[in-house]
Amino acid sequence: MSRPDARADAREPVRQPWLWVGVIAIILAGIPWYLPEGAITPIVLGVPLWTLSAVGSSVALCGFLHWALSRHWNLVEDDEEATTGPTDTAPGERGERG
Amino acid sequence: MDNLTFGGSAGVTVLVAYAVAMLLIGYFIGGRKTNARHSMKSYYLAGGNLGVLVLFFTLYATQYSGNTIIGYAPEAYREGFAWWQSVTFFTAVIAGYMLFAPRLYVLAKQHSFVTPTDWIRYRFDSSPLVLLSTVLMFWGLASYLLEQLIAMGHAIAGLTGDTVPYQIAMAAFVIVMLLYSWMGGMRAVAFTDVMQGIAMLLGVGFLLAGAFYLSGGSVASTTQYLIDNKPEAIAVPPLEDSINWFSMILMVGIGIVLYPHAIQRIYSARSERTLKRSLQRMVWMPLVTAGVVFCIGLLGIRLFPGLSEDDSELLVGLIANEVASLNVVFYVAMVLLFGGIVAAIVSTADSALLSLSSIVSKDIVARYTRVEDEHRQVVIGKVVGVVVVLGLLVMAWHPPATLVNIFVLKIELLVQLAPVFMLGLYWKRLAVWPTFWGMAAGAALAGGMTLAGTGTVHGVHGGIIGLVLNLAICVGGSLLLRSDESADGGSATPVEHVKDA
Repeated sequence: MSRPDARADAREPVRQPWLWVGVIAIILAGIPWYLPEGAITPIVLGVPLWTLSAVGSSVALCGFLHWALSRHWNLVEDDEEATTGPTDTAPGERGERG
Repeated sequence: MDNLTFGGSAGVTVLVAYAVAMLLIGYFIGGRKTNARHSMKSYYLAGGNLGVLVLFFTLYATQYSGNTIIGYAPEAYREGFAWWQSVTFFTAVIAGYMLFAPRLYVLAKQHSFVTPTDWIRYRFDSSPLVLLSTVLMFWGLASYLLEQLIAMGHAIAGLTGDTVPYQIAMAAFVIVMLLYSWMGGMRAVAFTDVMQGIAMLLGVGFLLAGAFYLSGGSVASTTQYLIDNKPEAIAVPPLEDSINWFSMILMVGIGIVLYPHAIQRIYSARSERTLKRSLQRMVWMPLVTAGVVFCIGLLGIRLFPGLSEDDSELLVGLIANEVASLNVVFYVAMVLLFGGIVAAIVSTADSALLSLSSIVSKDIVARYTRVEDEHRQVVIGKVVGVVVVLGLLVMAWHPPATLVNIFVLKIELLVQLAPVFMLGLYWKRLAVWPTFWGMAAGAALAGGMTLAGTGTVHGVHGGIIGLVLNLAICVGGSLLLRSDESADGGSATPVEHVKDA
């Protein structure tokens, strides 16, 4: 297995500052710190708009992290998939690779 | 709760069925494979070979306990929409993994790490720092285990309407847990996690469907009901609550991933792709677990209005009872949910137990005794784990409030480990002694605040305040330290694969 940062195209989430800015921004957008205390209206789709934005923020965070995991994390995956086979395989675990 | 439709003999039957299933998994997964019990990597990490599906479910069981259902629905009932934060903080846990798991996974494979402390020893080579980290982790795991044992007893007694008394329930399932963990180690734990995960996900889905049907089946009418009867549940909370919301997301997002059993799941992954794909699935689970439980709690406001704080703790049982009365399909689903909740608590406890035993085997017996045979080291770890669980069982038998209050300290302390993992992996200049004193000061401040009853300051949790102090000391101290090791940008131990991020 190669070093974590050996490959020129190695990707690691912690090296993408804008990714973390995005995470914090999405989280902050879902917390109603910017709205007046006690506000309930307007009602949209049967619920207060602020609750809808909180739910939307959570869904957006899930989607954003899912995307970040697939696009910004690849340290040894290519090497492992090319060279390493499963060892010490447990019952029921066979064929799960990939 | 005394006349549960699905309690009594049905509840006892499903409990026995789950217990037998767990024992069979332990026997068939590990009992017949003696090698699984001989080496540390095999027993504690399933050989570092868990595939996507099993790794996903064991990560799921690590993050979500039966407590997530029976404890979080009442929180939503009492706090209202502000408890939606539970969905976000569980999602933030995946961001927490992304901060350090990619690199830690590679290093763990290269250097055969078994316990989280292996990384700390490799990076810092400092006995005091390793010892302090071990104490915090051991405390966190023991507290977590105690909480699960008490939850186990209450869940079974409550959900069977006391057909099975608290103490008997706890003792019986502790024995089951010890047996299958002893036989199968991480493999048995991970495969029982699959069973509990499926039961829990299906059960909460049916519980929500039933609760939604009972409350009238309309989001708009439920909202109107809340506006008319409990407007504070659906109104924008005060600014301090919003600050608390953000603080909670930070603390849980960073803290949960630092539980030793969570870190060991990174080590257990078969490959980077396996780990990544499991986390990609995990990222959606807060919506279908905490989100669903949150909705059930809000619907409970309409179904059972005006419950006191104590009575609201029984909310899930009350709703499940009503839902089970609807028809035979819901009845069966609620029986499965009931077993799933108990199995979820047991399988969360078993992960903590296994991790605790691994720390004893690898970090204490293998390091500080003359026992050199790895199989014997594993056995001693298992025996100490059993003794610790039995000690906790005695404490949980008649839990004295003071002891339980001391043991509420978990995540506030574990979050103080963040610098050794999240900074230590990327910043070479992070030096030993500032890190040690930062961790000690952060843990003392966070622990002191919690024990003094000052859990938050202007909404910010003691754990986060302690972490800020911790970071100030370890970063400031490392920058100021002009020793040879830091002057050239190095660290206490040369870390070949770590470079500044």
